[in-house]
Order: sequence, then structure tokens, then C-alpha cells
Amino acid sequence: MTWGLLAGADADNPARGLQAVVLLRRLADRLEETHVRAARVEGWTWQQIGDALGVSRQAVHKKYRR
Amino acid sequence: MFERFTREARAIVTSAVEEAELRGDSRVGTEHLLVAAAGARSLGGTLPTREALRDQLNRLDEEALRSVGLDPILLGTDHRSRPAQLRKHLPFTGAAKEALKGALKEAIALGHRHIGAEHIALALTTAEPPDRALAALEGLDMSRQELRSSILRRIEKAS
Repeated sequence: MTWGLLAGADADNPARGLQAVVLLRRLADRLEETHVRAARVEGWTWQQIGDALGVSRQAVHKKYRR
Repeated sequence: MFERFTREARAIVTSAVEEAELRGDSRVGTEHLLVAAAGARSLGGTLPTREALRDQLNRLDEEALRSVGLDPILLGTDHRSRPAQLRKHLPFTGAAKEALKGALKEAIALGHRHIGAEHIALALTTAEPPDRALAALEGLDMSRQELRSSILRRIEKAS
């Protein structure tokens, strides 16, 4: 199965492709925020959230403390 | 340079920042300057309306999402607001900074001592493609040459 997100990435429209990257990043940021907050409410530690996201405990804490 | 900006030109810069925030963008670009300039009274009728430009930018976003297989309708406007913790003072893109510097050049070339809305709009027409403002205009079937000459005609009429 070779079909996927990148199947169309060889298309001849980098302006559109790069804008898609910007929008996908923003969606990922929104999704991250929602679920980090939910995890905190559930009592996850910063370490556990960092591990789940594949980043350091300090990185998540710095971004979401408050 | 900003001390030579007219009240209206300053308002365009402020409004461009607000436009970027409203769209959830992380930088203030030429497209935000263009939408802001479209609201300038002294340019009335030369630029497409703010609403038309905003719709066009939304259309470009929808095309981009569709190009990676995402349905813009299902996503709603979630991609359009930034996470709260990332909201802060927005920097200008390189192209937007060039446009503001270009406004000064346009004023000098016309022998004007002030920098007004018309000079910002003229500078936006000289952007190096690919450019988001030019892309929005193109989508509305307005060429940069067309826009440029209609602004210049308006300046002539006003003087």
C-alpha cells in the first residue's frame, strides 16, 4: 500500500504544500494542548506526558505549566 | 521610518497584526497587510473588499488541506486559532518587512514626503512571487499591474 499523505507530495505546488504543513502543525498544536490538559486533569505527571509525546519532561512543563 | 507614516498607514500596520492574530497565523505577512489596506478609506474601490480577500485566503487554506487529504469541512475552523500558550507578540515575515520598506521607496519615487496607505498598497504589488498577498489577488483575478495602475490613477486624481 503506497497511497498516503505523501502520495501527492510530489505535486508541482510547493506554495500549497507548505501552507498545508503550516495548517497541519497548527492542528497538531491544538490537539497537543487539548490532550496535555486532559492528561494533567487525569493526574499524569509531566514525565509521563513528555514520554508519551517523545519529548523531555522539561519541554512539556515549560510549555504548559500555569 | 515609521515617523513618516500617516495615521492611516499606521492603522494598516496595527490592523495587519490583528488580522494575523484573528487568522491564527504566527507571523504578520503581506496577506495581512493587504487585508488591512483594503479597509483604508483613501484606497476605496481600488482593492478588493476585506471580505473578498479573507474568503480568498480561506479558500487557499482549504485547497492546502484538501491537497493532503483533509476535509476542511470536517475540520471546521480548528486550524484557524492558535493554542493559547503560543499566543504572543507576532513578528513580521521578511516579505512584510520588505513591503513596509518598499512603501518608503514608493513615496520617494512619487516625491511624497509622507508614507500613506497608497504607498503600502503600491509596495505590496511589487512583492517577489510566490507571495501570499499576490496569490490572494490572483485568485480574485486581479493582476498586480492592474492594481498598481488603479492606485496610481487614484493618487493622481486626489492630487
